[in-house]
Amino acid sequence: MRWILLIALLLTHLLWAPASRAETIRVGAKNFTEQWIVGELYAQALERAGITVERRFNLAGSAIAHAALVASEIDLYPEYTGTALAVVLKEPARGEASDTVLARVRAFYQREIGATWLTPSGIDNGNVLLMRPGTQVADLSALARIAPKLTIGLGTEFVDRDDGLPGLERVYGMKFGRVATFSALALRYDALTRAQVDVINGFATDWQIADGALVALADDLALFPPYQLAPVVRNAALTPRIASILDAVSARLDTATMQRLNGLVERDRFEPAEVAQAFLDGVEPTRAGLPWSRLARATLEHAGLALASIVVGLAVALPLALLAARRDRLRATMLGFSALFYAVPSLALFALLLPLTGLGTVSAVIGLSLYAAMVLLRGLLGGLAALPPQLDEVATGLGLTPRQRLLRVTVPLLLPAFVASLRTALVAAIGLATIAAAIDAGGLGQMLLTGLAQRWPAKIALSAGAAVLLALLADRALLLLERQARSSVA
Amino acid sequence: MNALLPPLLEHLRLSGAAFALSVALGVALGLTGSRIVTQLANLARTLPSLAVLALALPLLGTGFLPSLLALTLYATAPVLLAVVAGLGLVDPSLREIASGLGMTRWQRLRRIEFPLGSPVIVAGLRVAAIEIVAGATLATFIGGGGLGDLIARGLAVRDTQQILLGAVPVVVLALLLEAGLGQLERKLAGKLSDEVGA
Repeated sequence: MRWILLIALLLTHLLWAPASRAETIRVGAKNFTEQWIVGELYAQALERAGITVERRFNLAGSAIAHAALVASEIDLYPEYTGTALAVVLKEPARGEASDTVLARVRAFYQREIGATWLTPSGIDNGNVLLMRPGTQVADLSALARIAPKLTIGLGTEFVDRDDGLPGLERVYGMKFGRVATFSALALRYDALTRAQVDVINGFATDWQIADGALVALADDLALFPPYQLAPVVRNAALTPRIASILDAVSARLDTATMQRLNGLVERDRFEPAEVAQAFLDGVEPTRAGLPWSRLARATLEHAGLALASIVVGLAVALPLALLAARRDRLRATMLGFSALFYAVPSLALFALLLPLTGLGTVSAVIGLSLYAAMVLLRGLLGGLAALPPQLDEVATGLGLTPRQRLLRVTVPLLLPAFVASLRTALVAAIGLATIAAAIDAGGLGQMLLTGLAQRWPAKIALSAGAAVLLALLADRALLLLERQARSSVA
Repeated sequence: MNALLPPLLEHLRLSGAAFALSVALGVALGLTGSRIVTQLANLARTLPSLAVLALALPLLGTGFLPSLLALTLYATAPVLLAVVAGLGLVDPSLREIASGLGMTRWQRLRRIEFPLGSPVIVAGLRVAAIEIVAGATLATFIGGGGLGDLIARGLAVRDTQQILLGAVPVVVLALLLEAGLGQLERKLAGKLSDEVGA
């Protein structure tokens, strides 16, 4: 029993300790390299001024980052004026200059959201469509004529935003033969250079553009608005001091600088935090190795997620199993439901939890514990069904009270099946927890995703290896427990 | 329907191919019955699916092929383990009798070992099929297409309908597989007990 208490304590700490600290600024960032770097720049600049910072660095899209700001789950994050225009104001650009767009966006945020756009950086991260060198296509009008024969590779947002595919169709009449979407944004470039797609959407600050070798097509009918990058801050969290710290960061950033910083992470494989630190120090980052300390932290986070979800899953499964123990029809229904539930893709479950329970650890634990509960429920119900039916009669005949029957007969006999399902559930939770990174729950999945952005096999293998090691450890430990339970029954 | 059909077809193509490959591979490797292969399969069961996808990337780039490879690797293990477990059910003395009757190894497999182990093997196929159909949603991380695209896009723009458009067909597919293969499993088990009874 003591270990359950210990886990419960750990869980409480994991879930509630960060929130209870006063006077922290929560910095958000979306789920791609540039946002990780700029988010780190904001966070570290604030930390250098003695402000406590909490990072929410893997928000899976502009709409999610915005919703987190509105729900005050974060206090600030880096956003682009054109993106706000398309995603938040939902107004098309009208070929205006950057100042006009900024003014429109600023006024809307003050009026409707109570948030301030600080002074923009010199970064204008415009949308561009890119092709391999040697193409005859010069601008988007020319591309539109051959688009039906081409495959375009896109980030997930671009498919549905008005300043994306729908806009290309509206303004240029462009319709592509095939659309390939990439949740790991950086991989579009792989697909383009390997000729698996013909066109991709890029951003002006992508380092691959600076390295040459790709052709940016001119937006001849001016579909895309300007995309100036600036910190957006909730008014409730904004102080003059915070504004001046962030302004000082923005003043040092322009498009060419950002291309260089993005390259340091994706091409040269530095951690975003290292790049940000070196930039604030005004030096070049020193040679990067594999991020061991980050691995240790991510592994602990990951184990915490899995353990917490098993504990919560148990709390759900145990009463349900007891409820169904003597009710055959209910048991059949539960078994059917658990099979159905287990088929729900984890990515979809996390996505659906988002509007209900928000981002981060809590949603991840809820999602993971549901899967765990299903496995445990199946194990428990299966174990119950396998008990000899005469058992109850014999026990009653021996004069045992119902309570004694449960504790002395049912529980010990059920134990091996229970521990076996615990083992399955824990190993599954460790695997599934990697996907929780999509809703900013951290852990080894987060490291996998940055490894993907950097196309760094060693880092991917390292984080996968850590997950396997955790799973094996859990498997071995519970297998020992299972054998003990079996031998004590025998 | 227009929004659903292409990703659905991609999903079916990817899952179908991965299932066929993992069954072929799982059965072939399972027949070797080697201990190392079983241990490797047990190890593979602990690999997170996202990690398998990510690791396929440096080898094969983005898109369909690495997604296929990753899903195949992922689903081969349950097939293989089920084949080993299913064939292990066969009484060794039965095998000796069969050899004594002059049956070749192939005849023994086809007439005795596979039929006797088939309920367990089909149970393994069912697990593999459902894991593939659900796991194929992760192909969206590396441009592999399928229903995961709809889910990821819905997630990015906070569109619940879009998420459901991707998720519901996956659940329906999984249910169909569960029902179909579950029925096969029961039928095989029933046939077996009939034969044993007769």
